[in-house]
Amino acid sequence: MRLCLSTLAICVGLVTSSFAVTVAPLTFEQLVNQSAAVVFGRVVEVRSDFTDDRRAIQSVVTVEVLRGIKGRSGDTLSFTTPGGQAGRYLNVIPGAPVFSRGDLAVFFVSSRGARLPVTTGFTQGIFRVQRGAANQMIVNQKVPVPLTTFEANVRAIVDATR
Amino acid sequence: MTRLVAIAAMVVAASAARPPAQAYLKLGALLNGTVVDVTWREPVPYFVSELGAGSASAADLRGAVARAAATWAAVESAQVQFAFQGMTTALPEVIDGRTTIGFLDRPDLDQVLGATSFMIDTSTGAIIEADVFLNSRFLWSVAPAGVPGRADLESVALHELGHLLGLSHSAVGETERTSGGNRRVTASGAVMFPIAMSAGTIAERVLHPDDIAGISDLYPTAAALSETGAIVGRVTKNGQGVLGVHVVAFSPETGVLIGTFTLNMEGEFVIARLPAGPYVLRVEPLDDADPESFFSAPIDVDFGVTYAPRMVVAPAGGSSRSIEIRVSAR
Repeated sequence: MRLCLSTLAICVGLVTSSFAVTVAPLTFEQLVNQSAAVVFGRVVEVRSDFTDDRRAIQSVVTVEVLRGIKGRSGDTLSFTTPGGQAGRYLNVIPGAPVFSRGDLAVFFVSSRGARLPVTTGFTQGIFRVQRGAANQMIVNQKVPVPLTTFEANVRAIVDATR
Repeated sequence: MTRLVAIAAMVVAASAARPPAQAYLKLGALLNGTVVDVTWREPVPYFVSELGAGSASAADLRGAVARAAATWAAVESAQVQFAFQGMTTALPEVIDGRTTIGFLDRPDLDQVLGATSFMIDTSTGAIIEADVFLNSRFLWSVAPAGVPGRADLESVALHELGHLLGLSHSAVGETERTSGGNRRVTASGAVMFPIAMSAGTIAERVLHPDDIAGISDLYPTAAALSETGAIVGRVTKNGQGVLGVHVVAFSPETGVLIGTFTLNMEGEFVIARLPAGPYVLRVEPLDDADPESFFSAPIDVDFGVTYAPRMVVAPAGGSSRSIEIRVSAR
């Protein structure tokens, strides 16, 4: 299959994202404990390309770390998500997270040795953050909480398992 | 030739007659500035990979997929067909123009039972192929009554085939924390709910009204077009539209429960293919599933459960008048 660059004529999931996975749920404690790193950050780059075996397309998401919450992290953190666009080919994995530059979130990532990490529990390891009333950073979850509270909850679990 | 057939057959179908707020439960594609449904125009041709998993063989998978396909095809109000093309040595990740369903070992997706992947040629809008993988990291079962501790292959196949047909996730379901700290699904009102029931359960081999409404909206029969109706409306907070609100229609007469979302910044929603009749409308924040499974942008969950001020009738063959439901911050 020959590839060539083409103007983007179609993209899937602008409004509704797209979804197609059946996920075994993790508890929040499991999410924290299974993550090598937890950071609050801003997406600064999303780069998609075919995997080395050219069987699929994956995206490398690079995050500017605004605050490390668990584990060691530098100024930036990169992880992969399945799907993305390479040339004229768009690989959509319904249910896979889709990021854009500037997105704010708390990211839970799992180590994979020499390879780039992935988000823990797939979509479960992503908590979008937005500004709420009084300019406070709010974490979107079942009951929205201030980012500071969310961070404290993570740290409490980390401390409890030391 | 197979690839050419696939490209020709699996186009993104544009439907200019759709309401402005794209309906729920469906995969959406933006084609030349218009959001359209993703549908198939002929029986869905699929291959099954010959590679088995440790706990289930390729023959087990073939049988489970066939039963799941038959379940979707049996929906009376929808025109859905699948066409098994044979077994293949290909894995469901190879870009070969074929739609392949099979097992893959995906340790990097250790919480994912299965997924569906679409490859689209952006220069033509054609879907080149759409593969489905089941994660061989899990223990699987095809036993008629299920096996404790094992995921039911037919149930997950039914969910993934729903995606293959163009459905996305439904939020009609409930989860809870158990005393041991685990999270489990306590009630699922849709096969397309994104979180699996506990291993060993076979309850999700059966479609729910929510699934049936969704598939009937994508592939309606003539009878469905004339006999079902839609409820349209808008959810607002402080006078502004709210994105990502879960809107549920409940029929007191039949007990039918069908959900949708507000899918634009105006807070508009459409619940299509409802059995004609009166409904109670309830709006609630998306709080019983992982929001990232539904939206790739922050959504507003800071409001309380609210009911429409009156019942709304879904008229046969038509749409209700638009209703506004106002919510308040918690």
